[in-house]
Amino acid sequence: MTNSFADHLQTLGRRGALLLGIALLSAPALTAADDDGFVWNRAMLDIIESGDVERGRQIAEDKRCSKCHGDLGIPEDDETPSIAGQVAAYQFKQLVDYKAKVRDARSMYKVARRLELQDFADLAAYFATLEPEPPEGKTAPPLLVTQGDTDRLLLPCNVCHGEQGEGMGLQVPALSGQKIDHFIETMVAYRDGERANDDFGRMRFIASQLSEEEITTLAAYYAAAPVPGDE
Amino acid sequence: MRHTVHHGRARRYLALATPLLCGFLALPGMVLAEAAPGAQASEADADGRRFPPSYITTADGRNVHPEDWTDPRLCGQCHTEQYQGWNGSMHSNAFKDPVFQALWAIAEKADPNNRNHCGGCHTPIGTATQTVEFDPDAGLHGAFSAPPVAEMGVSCDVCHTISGTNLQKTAVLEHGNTSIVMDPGNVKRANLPNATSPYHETADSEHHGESDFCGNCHNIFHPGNNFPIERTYDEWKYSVYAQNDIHCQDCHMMPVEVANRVADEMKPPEALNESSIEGFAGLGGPWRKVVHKHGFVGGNAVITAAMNNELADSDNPVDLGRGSNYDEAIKRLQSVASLKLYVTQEDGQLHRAKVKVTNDRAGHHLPTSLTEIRQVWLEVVVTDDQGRELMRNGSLDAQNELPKDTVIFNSHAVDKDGKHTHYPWEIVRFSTRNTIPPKGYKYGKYWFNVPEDAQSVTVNAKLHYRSFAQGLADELLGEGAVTVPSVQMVELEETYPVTELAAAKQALDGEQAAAPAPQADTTAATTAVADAAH
Repeated sequence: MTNSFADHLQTLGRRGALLLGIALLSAPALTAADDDGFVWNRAMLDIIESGDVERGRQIAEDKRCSKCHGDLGIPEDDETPSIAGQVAAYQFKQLVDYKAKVRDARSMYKVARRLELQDFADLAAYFATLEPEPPEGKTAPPLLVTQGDTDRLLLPCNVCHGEQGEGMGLQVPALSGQKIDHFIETMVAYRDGERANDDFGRMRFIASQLSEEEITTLAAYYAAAPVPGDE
Repeated sequence: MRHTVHHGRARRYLALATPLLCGFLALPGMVLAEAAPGAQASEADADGRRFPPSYITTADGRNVHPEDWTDPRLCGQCHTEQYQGWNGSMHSNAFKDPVFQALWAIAEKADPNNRNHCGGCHTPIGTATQTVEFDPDAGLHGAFSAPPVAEMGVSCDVCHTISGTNLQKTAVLEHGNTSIVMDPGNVKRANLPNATSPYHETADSEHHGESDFCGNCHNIFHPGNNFPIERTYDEWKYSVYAQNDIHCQDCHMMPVEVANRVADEMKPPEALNESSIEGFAGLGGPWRKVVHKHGFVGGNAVITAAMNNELADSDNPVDLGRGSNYDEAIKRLQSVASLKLYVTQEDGQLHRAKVKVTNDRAGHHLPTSLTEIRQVWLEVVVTDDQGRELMRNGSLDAQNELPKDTVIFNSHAVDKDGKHTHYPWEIVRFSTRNTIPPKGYKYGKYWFNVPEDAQSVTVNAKLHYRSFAQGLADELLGEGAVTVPSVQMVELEETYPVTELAAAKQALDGEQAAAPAPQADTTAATTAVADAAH
């Protein structure tokens, strides 16, 4: 555990310095940020806030987002992420990261590379208005959700992701109703370092502390019911 | 009644027995012994102190335990940028700093009361819980240990659960000697309006945004004779910074570039419209116009670097992630002061160079803190156009020590017998104090002869800083354990035609009243004339 966290902190140091450096250098240069990945700064927040729901709906239609993500942001399989009701700023960041290849997904890169920051803001604003799929909710919240495990330096999940998994503020995504396989795959990707676009490596550290069983339990709690017959 | 005695590890078992024990010992005519090192005092001394000579108290006088404070690594889960700034800072190293540990060990052997005096600020948790242990045989001088959260020095929860100050209880009625009220618990305090958290309660505390808060530790007077040894807070309090409501946090919790603007414009960061200091104070929180950095960077690059190197391979999380504070410390040192040169012909071949050192951007003296140990000094070299060295002063020798006649900006401390000492607990006064106040300046003066055939002279002046002398490092850490590094803060070099120096001298001798007012020091002629007019 200690070594993992040590690695985590070293990563944090490099990444934090990189993020801060980019933030200092690129605040006015939106196109540069677009290419380099997402940076939290005032200019970026202004763009996010300017997101136009109707324009976002139109872009989603033009780009045929529904082909993978379903008509209302809820896919018909368990692997593709549900983006209905997702926190807009978080969603925006993911799109920027796809375009910059900071988050690796070939299909999303192909879509994002031809879009601009304003398009991302509009799309994020639109999908945030959609109703997420209800979580399966069959089980009581696992202790990790409500109490965490301070021995492993794990805060309760609901501290950051909200009491109902609805997300929090601008940075923290909603988990409630996420597709179950995508949830698990995401946590495994964080754990294995294959996904690394989380600020300060926070999720990479958390995932590194979780067992397979715990990840599955969390997925079962937060995620929507599996699609019948979906493998 | 003096102190009652509980051993730290047996704390809970003794809690019930203590009142009985105290009652038994406090028979008429008896005096309780001083609190034994490593014991938790449960009642206050005659001055109201539970952990004398520090002025730490706990809220409601309750007993506190290490587990009452949150591990900073947990804080870092949401306040990650703040955690990273702190990790590797002098605050995080306050307990582990090997130079401090060595000095503290020597102090402990001289007088066990120094454990609380030094430990109060360097491990507030260890002191308030009386869980610091001392092994006199470890290392060169002995070594201290404490529960892990106490060894993390001045950590997140130390500051953010402080609920008040005890300045009115101190012997000098001023902040200092750990004049804090510790109130560990779920309420976290900061000068952060409208803060909420799903994990802990919050309280807005203006105290946390003021120099008064820092002054509780960055103002140290001798616990016996009350001599002010470290006066950083006092220096600020009587400076133009305080007059303009610029607090410690406005410089030391800002990037160097912003701190420089604060000092230059005498405006707090909030008034500077700096986008670089905007951000999130915590995960999921609102975007704020001002978010404070938590590296608290000053000039101590030496320890920061040493700790980095020493701990680079450690698998202890709290020892890692430490790179940026060193660079920040160097930048801060290299932007705090400026130099000006004034060269004049004195008499025939005899000339004088005056080097003016101005404290442009420190809101306290330069240097501050342990001024009898810190070294800020001038190195001045004068050469002529034929490459001959006419004068050299302030160059480190082969032993990494400074020559006796070096112009050093520091204090010379003496003990009760008037002998020089660099042990804070022995100091009764400073026989000289040559530190530079905020926005103030001091001169170094140098005399040299210019050969008759010289056409010009070049004066090269450098200002250097190091945290302590090589001799002290050898004494504390062992002979040859480290070579104390120096940081060149600023350098200025100017060349002066000899004829112009002579002309300026003649002009001064002939018509002093007509000498022009100084315009700039960028040419030899104006410099010489301007100085001659003084």
